[in-house]
Amino acid sequence: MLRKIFLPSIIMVLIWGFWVSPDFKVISAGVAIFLFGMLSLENGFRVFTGGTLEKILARFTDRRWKSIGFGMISTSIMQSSSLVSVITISFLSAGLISLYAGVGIIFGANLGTTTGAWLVAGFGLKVKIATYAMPVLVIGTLLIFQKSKTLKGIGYVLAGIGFLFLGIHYMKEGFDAFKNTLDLTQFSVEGVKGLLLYVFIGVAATVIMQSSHATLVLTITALASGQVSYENALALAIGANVGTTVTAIIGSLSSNEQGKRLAAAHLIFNLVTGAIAIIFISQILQLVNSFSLLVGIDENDFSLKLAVFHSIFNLLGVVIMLPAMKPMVVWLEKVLPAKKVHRLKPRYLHESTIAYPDTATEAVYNETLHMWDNTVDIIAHGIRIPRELLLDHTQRAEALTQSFPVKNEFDIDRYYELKIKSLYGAIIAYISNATFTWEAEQSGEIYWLRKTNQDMVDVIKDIKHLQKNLLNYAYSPNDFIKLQYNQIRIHLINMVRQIEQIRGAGSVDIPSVMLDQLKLDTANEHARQIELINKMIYQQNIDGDMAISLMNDKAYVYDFTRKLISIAETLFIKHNKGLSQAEKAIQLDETELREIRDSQKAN
Amino acid sequence: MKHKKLLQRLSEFFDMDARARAQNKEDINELLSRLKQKEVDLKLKLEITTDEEERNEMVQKIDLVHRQRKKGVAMLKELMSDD
Repeated sequence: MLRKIFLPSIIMVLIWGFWVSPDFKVISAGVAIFLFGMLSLENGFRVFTGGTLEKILARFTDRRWKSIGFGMISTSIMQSSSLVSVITISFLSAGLISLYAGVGIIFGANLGTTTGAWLVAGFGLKVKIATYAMPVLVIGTLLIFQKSKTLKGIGYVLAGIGFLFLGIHYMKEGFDAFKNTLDLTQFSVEGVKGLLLYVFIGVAATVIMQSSHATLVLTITALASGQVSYENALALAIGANVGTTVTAIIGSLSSNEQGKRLAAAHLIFNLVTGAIAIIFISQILQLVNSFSLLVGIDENDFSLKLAVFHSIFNLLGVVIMLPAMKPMVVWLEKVLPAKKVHRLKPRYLHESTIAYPDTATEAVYNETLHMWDNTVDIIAHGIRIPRELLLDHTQRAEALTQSFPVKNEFDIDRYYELKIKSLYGAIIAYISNATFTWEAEQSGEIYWLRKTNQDMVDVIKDIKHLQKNLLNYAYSPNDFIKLQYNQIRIHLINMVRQIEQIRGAGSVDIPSVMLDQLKLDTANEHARQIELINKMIYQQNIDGDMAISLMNDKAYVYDFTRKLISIAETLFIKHNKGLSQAEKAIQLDETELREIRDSQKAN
Repeated sequence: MKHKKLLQRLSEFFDMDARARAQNKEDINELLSRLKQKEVDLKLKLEITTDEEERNEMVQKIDLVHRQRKKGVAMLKELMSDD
């Protein structure tokens, strides 16, 4: 209930915010574009998973010093630790690097970002990578439309970077209104209080301007004009270092737990570094003075001394945090655990049953039945009919398809992951864990049960393919094709019902007759469908594309109805312990069934 | 005579194969009677069915049951000849 009202409430609050404040609207749009950029970046990097990029990254990040160096160099080139951290988050989310390597890159990025202060203080230079955002976005989008998978991947990465900068640009624009209120002279306070206050201002300014560079420029300008004291400027730099993590935190919102862990590592590192800098500020200042004297920096050149301070305290942070890197990764994995996916557990495959061939076979049989129940569930979802109604013989199939039209696609992949794959995997593992030698009879039975499990997986894949066109043609203006796809749903409802009837057949019914009848009906239906499609093409009731879709899908349906029959034969006839040998042996073979069909045609 | 029959029964009891064959014969006989009943029922239904399509389906079903019966009879004969 709470989840149902959560999203509408958020949307309502946002709409209200947009109404009240145009700046809020721009900031929100910036965040949205930024997050979209993250998604695009992840999509792009995912294309290269298992390929060259993964190899390159693995090579450059396989050792701690390498990952730190990688982060340092890339940040120095890009002049944005935020960009490096969000790209690292997307590397992690795409599974291209390990968390340990990611943390190394972040450590390195903190060192790399200090080159910015040198550039600004030393040369008054500010590299504005954001200027390239628009062309990158255009080229990226152009590449997305290419057929080549690699070009598409590069396109997504470029568009992602473009969107990231566009998002940051809008966030900055939105915060511009607040920027003017940052008159640093009004906060001029001396001592520890002043230090903490300016650290806080540094954090706030960086969050607002979305750039530690911008804060540093502001600080250096203020320092040069005497608006702030040297000590307060140092506090601002410390604050900027902490505030810069906000970009990574925003970036991790759309990522998985790995990305969140990295953002947390980034925050921890910068907080600890900041705390060290605050606590040991007088010692660090002495170090700055000694170093400045050594390299010949003028005593009153506070801008360059600020750059020295920035480098020293980040370097100090890395040196201090380096031994804690591994424990921090372990701790983060513990406090930010991967979301537990509730996969279905096997019901019958216990340690106790694996001791003897007979009990083990029985357990595999029962587990296969369990998997069949889930397969029926997926078929029901795939054709968009509630399971209980699908199995209710009193409900007419035609009426059900009318009452439950296909409105959307069901996420079969997820269901498969949760309810089928785990069982199938457990069955395979159970069979291979058996320590005894299977006797001929059980070995045969196990073979058929394994094949049945594979058939179920194939049926699910077929349903997945089919449901796309079930949805596509459900609202087609062409009544013929619409009817045909609805017929497929009706056919599947009847098919599952008949199989379930065979499963529950009592002493009066003869399951072998029922299954042979189902085989005959399926073959007849397939022949009739081919005839019907030919007729529709000849009469131009459907166009070429529709005909191809229909022919392919009918072939799918025929293929998987045969698999369903094979599943039913194994589970409910051949290996049904409730049936006598005579009942199993009485089944007709393919030739005998064909003879029946031929004799029917002859008449 | 009594002893001979008793001995035969005893040997049948201890002979697993013979017991399985006997059980199988019994099962086939029982199944054949069920199939026969099903065929009769279907034929009666066919007589009162007028719809052409339904009639065709029914004829096919009768043919199927009939062939299964024939198969069952052949299985039974084979078992008898083995004995």
